Amino acid sequence: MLELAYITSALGGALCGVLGFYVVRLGLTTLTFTIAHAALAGAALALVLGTDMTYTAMVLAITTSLVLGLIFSRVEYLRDTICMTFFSFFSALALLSIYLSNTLVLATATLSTVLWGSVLAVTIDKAVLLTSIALILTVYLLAFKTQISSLIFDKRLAEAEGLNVLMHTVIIMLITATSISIMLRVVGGFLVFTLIYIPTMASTVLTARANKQLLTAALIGALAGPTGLTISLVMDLPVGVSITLTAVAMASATMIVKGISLKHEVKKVKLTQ
Amino acid sequence: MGTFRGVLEVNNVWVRYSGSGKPAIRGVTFAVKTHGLVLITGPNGAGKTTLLETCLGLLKPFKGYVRLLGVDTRSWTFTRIRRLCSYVPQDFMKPPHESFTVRQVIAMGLAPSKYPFEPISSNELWMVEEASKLLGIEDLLDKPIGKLSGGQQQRVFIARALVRRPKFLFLDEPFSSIDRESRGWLAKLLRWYVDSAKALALVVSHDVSPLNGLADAIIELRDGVLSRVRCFRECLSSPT
Repeated sequence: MLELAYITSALGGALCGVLGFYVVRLGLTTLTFTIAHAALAGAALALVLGTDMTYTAMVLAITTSLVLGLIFSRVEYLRDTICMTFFSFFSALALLSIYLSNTLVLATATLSTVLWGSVLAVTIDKAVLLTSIALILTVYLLAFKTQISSLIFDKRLAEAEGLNVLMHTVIIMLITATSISIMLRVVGGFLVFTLIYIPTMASTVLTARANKQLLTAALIGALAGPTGLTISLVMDLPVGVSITLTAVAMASATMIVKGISLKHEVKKVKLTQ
Repeated sequence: MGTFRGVLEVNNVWVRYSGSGKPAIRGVTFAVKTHGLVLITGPNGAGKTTLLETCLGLLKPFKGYVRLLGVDTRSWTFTRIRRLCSYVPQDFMKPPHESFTVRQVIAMGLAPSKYPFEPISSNELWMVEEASKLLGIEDLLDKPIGKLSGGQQQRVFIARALVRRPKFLFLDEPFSSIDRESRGWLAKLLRWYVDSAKALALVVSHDVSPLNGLADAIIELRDGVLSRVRCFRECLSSPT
């Protein structure tokens, strides 16, 4: 069980790191934040309905990405505000569901899985699903390599040249929604989106090249997951919190390293002058 | 209101930006019958960019319609028509951290016509180099675009537009960052492309001088309304 948790956290971390790179480059950060909270609301709703947490989260997250994708294809302004409205609704729905769930649920580990994740919550079928998603994403990125490069370089120009921007955006959002729903079991609903943003932020600090950013984000995500998990086990902390704090520490370390190397470069330039 | 037929039909078009009360363009009507070089000019805020982006379907009219090759820009199938179009935006500048090389950026123009798993062919890479030579940027091919000056970046985007061998060129202020000496040369290059590829170029420019004697028609906009149309060759029709 523990091996499975390690494999899932490493694979999920890498997957979220890759997705984060595309999410940030495509300007879908707020949208992803909303989808993560739709997944949280879905997982909380599962407590009331007695359904599978991951699949209920997935249904709500996927539906939200499709609905928002449709709205965004027609509405060009107030997109962030629309996202934040959905975010507020899902946060309220999550809290309402937790309130409505019976006292037995409130006392069990099930609730803690929704809120801050659990090592024990990962099952073989979810790990297989996550691996399948990682494979689908790899095949998709290889199949549309040129198109996606054009998209992340300039979305509007790509659209003007006849690239189906809506289709590619929806595909990336659907894969993100599914990945978030599965990773919610490990990291918890309130922190799952940190795996999307923090590795990407750190990779952007470290390198300017898009390909290197993608690989670095995947690597940081893959390292943050198992490292956080180990810290959680050793220090008896909630796993989601440990993974998030590890990712934040890694991002901070990259900033410090970058800052020092920049200072050295400036000194070198001054010396040569 | 009469019905116009041609490769580009703009019929009583009204466009309003989301959240704005006043339409940016109002009741604009003209039709381009055949290939040619059409200059859209006018003072700041006249609606030139709005008109260009509406013709390309990036902005949707709330009244009237635009058809390119008979296809309404609001139609789902218009994405296919866009593959025959090239666009050079007004706000093209990329930040210094943008790491895609000039070669990659020009080659990206070929992406929409690619099948899944289809790489850029060696012939297409040769086309990229030829396009860069046309614009005088062949020495910059392996440099990151973010490190180039405004004028150099603008040349890259024009090269990207041309490498697609488009039937329709939509250029928004293509001379804005080009040095004064090169503007005439660039205008002649556009004229040459329009004639050799039998293409239609819609060029937005507040500066008419580079295209003096080269444009087939000049459309003047003022405060969102088509104020004057001058035709030097039989390629355009308009009620004004």
